[in-house]
Amino acid sequence: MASLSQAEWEHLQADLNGLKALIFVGILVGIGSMVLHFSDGSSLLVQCPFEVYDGGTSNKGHGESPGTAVILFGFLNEHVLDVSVDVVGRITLEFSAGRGIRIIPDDSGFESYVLRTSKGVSPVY
Amino acid sequence: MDPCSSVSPPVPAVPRRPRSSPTWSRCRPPHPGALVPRPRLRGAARARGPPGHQDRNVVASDSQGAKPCHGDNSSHVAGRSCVVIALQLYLDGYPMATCRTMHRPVLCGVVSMSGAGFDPNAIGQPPSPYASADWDFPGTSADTAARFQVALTDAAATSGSTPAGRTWQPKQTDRPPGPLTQTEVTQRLQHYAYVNNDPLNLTDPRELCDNPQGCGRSNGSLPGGTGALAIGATAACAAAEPCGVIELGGIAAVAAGVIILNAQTPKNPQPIANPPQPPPAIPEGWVSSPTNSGGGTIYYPPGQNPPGSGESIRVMPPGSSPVPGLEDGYWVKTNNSGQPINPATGGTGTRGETHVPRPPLTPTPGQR
Repeated sequence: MASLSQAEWEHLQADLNGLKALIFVGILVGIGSMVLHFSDGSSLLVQCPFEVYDGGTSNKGHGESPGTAVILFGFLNEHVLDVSVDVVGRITLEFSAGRGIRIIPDDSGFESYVLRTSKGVSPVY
Repeated sequence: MDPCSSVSPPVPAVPRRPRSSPTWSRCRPPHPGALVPRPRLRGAARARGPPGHQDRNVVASDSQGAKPCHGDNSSHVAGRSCVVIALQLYLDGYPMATCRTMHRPVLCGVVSMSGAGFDPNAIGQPPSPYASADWDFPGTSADTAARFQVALTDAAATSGSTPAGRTWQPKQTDRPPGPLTQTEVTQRLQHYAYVNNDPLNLTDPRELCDNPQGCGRSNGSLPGGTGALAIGATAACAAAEPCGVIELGGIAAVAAGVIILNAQTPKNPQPIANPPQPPPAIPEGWVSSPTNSGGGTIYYPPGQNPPGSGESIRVMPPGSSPVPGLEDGYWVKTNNSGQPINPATGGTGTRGETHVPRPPLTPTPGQR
């Protein structure tokens, strides 16, 4: 799995910090991608696997599989409590303790997700 | 086939061919104590991200992850040095940036060293700021981790002071947290992990690091106190560098060591749907900005915030993707909703349909 350089890790984490306290307002589902929208206009284009976890259970989906978007609906209009990214680019959006979404880069060589905030665009492979 | 893309399942058995060294066979040759120019990178792979980022590749820390070693010796602790393990990736025979890209299977880590040998307690500990619970690399999920095998071979092997070969293996889920015990280290560190610990029957079919750009380490005569890391079959290489001697800019200060990463062409990559073609003309009045990662440039109408949230064209440089067919870079166009579109249909599509390869030597729009 690809790892982020320190600079990229810091940069990405800094960008993601801007999502804290925002509201997850919508999901644009299309063939080949999902776009997660946040209340300040930031978005996360997802074309890779993701996971929804809630306590001890988890469900998996894929950004290129539109039908799996439904597992994200439960988080709509919730505030992002915390967000983090690890060294391999895996994003965790936490909405409450033990509940959240993980975006998991798949090493396909294609872009796994693209974070778009007012600070810029960060494609992550 | 680009071997630098992802970690793969165990290497299939292929006939072993003679090679100069079964031990230190690939990757950039260490030049103990010497600063050596980093081989030139191809195209835009050399410079990624905003200015300044490309010069901050790796950070070392001590075993507690508390003393960063930002390219100088200021934080060097007497009697203890730290080693930066920085993978050097190769794409089509060209070394890629070390620990720079988000998309490469680059692995940057730190192991602490005490004297000439590794401090096993340091293994598995995250270097600051990689304070990730998943630092017990490799692997980011159970299935991925299961494909990895990491060998950290003590470069001091020639001195006989430490075991000659070791392997880092994925964290066992039933293992309690904490540093590895010596027994675990011994069990986990294997010498021939790059051939699944079966050097008699397997070899690295890719031979990536046998290219003249930086490989060719041929024996185990690495200086003591340094290390090497191998991860499955080769595809990426790295250097273990002493604390304070870190790659900065185009200079690589390689004390000793080789790292081999099993990073192969993506498994079953999606087919590239569109033929190589230059990016579409950028509409007049659009503005551009560099991407925060990947070394690309995004073009979008003025006032669009965030960039790319609406109609845009993002052009990525050569070397930004390991997918066969995208070696010369690619571009992605998004519609008014920020969805990637397939230019052949105008509709949205999968990544294989929306990552459009650039033809060779296609200038980035606005550049000559």
